[in-house]
Amino acid sequence: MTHREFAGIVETYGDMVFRVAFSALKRREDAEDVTQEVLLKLWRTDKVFASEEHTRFWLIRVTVNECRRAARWYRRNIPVEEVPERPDAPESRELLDTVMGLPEKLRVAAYLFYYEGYSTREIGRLVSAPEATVRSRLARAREKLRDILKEEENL
Amino acid sequence: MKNEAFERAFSDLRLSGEARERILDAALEDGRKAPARRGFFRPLRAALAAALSFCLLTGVTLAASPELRERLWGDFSGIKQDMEPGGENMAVYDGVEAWIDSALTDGYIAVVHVAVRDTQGDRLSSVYNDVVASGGKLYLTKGNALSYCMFYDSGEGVEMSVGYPPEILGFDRDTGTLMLEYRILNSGFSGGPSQVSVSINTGAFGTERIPIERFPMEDKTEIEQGEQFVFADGSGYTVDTTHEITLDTSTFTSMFNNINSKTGWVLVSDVETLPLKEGTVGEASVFLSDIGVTLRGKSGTAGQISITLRDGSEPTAAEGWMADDQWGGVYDEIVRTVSFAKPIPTEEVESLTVGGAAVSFQ
Repeated sequence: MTHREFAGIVETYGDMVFRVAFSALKRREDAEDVTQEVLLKLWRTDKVFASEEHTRFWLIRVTVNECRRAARWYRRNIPVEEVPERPDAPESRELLDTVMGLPEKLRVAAYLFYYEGYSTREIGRLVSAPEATVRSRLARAREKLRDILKEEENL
Repeated sequence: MKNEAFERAFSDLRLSGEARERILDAALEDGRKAPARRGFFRPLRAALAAALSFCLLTGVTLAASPELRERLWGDFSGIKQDMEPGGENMAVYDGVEAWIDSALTDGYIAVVHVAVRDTQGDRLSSVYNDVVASGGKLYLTKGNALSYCMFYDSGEGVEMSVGYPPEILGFDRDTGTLMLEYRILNSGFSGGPSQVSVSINTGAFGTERIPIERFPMEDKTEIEQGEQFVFADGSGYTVDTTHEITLDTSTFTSMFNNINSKTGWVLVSDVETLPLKEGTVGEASVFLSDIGVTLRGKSGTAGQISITLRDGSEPTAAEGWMADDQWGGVYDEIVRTVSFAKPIPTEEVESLTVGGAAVSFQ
């Protein structure tokens, strides 16, 4: 891979990797560190990706793993003042705040399902959990997000 | 399905321009350093493999010299290309061989490298597959990890360690060899015995086989009552609150102790004990070695551990220096260990702080 190709990959997938990391870690600096680590892994790998979807899948999976590693370290070493970033629109802010208030596993599952559009089966493969577990996490997330999502449907 | 509300809420979250620049710069920097890495290390690996073969065949303690250790840490991929494992510290089942490659401890942290090779096929590659793992257990048979816990014999009886699942360091497709790294905090140690041995549970060997499968990576404290795990062949188990797992084949085992009376403990190897530098901060004792920092003190001993090297640099987690942070302890004493992702020779450490307070060394 040339540096120019890599720049294209950062452009294409940088935001996605960052959002997955942010949904797991909640802090911009930490999410950016993980994003850098993940994209550099891609830069270094000899792996041949069969498709764009394969690349996305690999990146998300590696991001989830890196976030777990980072979260373990941060939990022990840095008092986390969890202040998620806020989009401008009030309704978006409310949803983001609520999502970020969920336990980590729930918000990552919710993000991958609702934003990235992955199925529960695919999320299971991404986070190394059985599909039934993903469904249960989504159900619990949905429970907490119900009011906001319902309002959205009524708009 | 995509949800519009989610799309609006999250689409404002973007990687900053500065971060993009940093990543591209880091790739450039990385590219300048690494273009010949594979080729360069090939002769080194061959020499190292020969050295390790000699160690294995003659029973010499593995990874005995700092230089050899440094090389072991430096490049694992393909390390086994010319190596023929042998000796007593190898377990074999159904054509799958597992052996201890190196083992280091400073008395508090142990770092053990285990190689696994399939001599009859390509079954291990499916384990490595697309995963860059940070944890995860390698399952060779139903419900049995290779391995979760480790036992130390310090010469005064066997003590169980506090352990985490191994990290997969690399997979050499040429030889079908998987390299695993275990990092373990042994709260049973008291300052580092001169020599210990380590046994790895290969309880998996000898029981019913299923296709090799990655176990879902779950933190045991977060496993939920009634949660179901299903393997690729359709078998599985349900978690219950007693922390016992019932396989659907009626096999019964204990998840967290992973004790399997059928097979016992094998893969015994000597462990090289590293020298410790001892210090104090507040009422806590601090031990620094090449592979990590350990605090022993009352419950509540905490705070960020940071190191300044003699060249003025400060290794951080983001740079990949600090690895797992592990806790253990007995009664009101707590043992906290931060193991390094790469070794940092103690002589290169200028200062060490815990929670911002400088550690004083004798």
